[in-house]
Amino acid sequence: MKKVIALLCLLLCAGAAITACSAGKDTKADNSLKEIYREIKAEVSLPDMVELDSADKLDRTYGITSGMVDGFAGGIDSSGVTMTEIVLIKAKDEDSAEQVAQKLNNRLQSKLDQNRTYNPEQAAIIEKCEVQTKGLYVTLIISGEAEKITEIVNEHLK
Amino acid sequence: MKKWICVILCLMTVVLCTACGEKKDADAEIQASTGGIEHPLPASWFDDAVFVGDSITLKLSYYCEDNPSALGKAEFFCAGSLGYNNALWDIDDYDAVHPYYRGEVALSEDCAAKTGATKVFIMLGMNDLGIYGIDGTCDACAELVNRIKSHTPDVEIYLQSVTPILAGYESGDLTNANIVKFNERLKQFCEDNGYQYIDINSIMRDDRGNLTESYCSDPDAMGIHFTDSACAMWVDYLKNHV
Repeated sequence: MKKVIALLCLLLCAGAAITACSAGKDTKADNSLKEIYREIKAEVSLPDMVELDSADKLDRTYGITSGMVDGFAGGIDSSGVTMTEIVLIKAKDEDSAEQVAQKLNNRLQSKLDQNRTYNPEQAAIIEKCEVQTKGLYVTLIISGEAEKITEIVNEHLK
Repeated sequence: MKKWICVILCLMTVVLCTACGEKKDADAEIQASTGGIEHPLPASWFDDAVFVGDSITLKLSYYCEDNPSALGKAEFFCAGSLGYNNALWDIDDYDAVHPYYRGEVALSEDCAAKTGATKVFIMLGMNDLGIYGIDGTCDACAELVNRIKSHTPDVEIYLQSVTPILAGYESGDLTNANIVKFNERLKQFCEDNGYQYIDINSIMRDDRGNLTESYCSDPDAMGIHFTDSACAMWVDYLKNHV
């Protein structure tokens, strides 16, 4: 009986340690997408970006909740002057991927609408961009360098 | 036996106390950079605020994303090119530029209803004055405020002045002189209706009434958008004058 109690206590102790230590750490998908985003920033000249580094930001900006995604990375031009935006998401499953793609398409359309009449230069860039889905990976890349950025992303998501 | 239980319980306590939990951002207060004000509002005061605006406020929203201790959990309802006039257009109007909030396009008049805000801060007009003139902008401002109040009668309204333009970037009727005239009408409108007028223009302009060069982030483009340091001043002004 004493041995059982001691074992239970040790198990509880170990469980608490593992749970506490793993809380707040990135998922594997997060890390790989962050790595891709780091490479994009290293290879392409981007303006100063607000990083998409929290589930709250993802929800506030796109209406994409943490329940839909397994990992994400990216950023938005922090000056608000250009429409540069890079969103890399791994959805939890196919249904979520569809929802995520819909939300990002809404975002793309909204940006196009905002710029069509008042900022034709940026609208021309946005018009050439699209939301892409590869399996569970969904991406939105709005940038004058969208082609180069997409190449980098596709290289990793083969 | 009792000794072993105590040892194990102590070990559990030590592990739980030192385990790496979720990181919490520090919520340090921004110190007032201007003298004379003893107690600036805390960032948390803005937790139930929503900021309605154009691309200038969009920049503020990005600044606040990077600086959570600026305006707390304030929400932002902004869109590039938004103005008092086009904020009144139908949501599916082809040329409409309504704010995009949590994955959906929404009308500015619904900003408080959608966010649960009790304080509504508005800064619009830069995209109106050149097209609709001072009278047209004032009329649209009154109508937008009226719609917000009709949807959410209990909200407090704070109208922020239109900010200045960099020297050399004025165009047509969009001039710093007209901005000043509009702001005077806006101030009067606030006084007549019990709204608070927040004069952000006053801290952004130089002694000639132009946007201070060092506050401008787009001297090669439109000459109206702010740097991070200008946003910090904006936040500071709000905390000390609201």
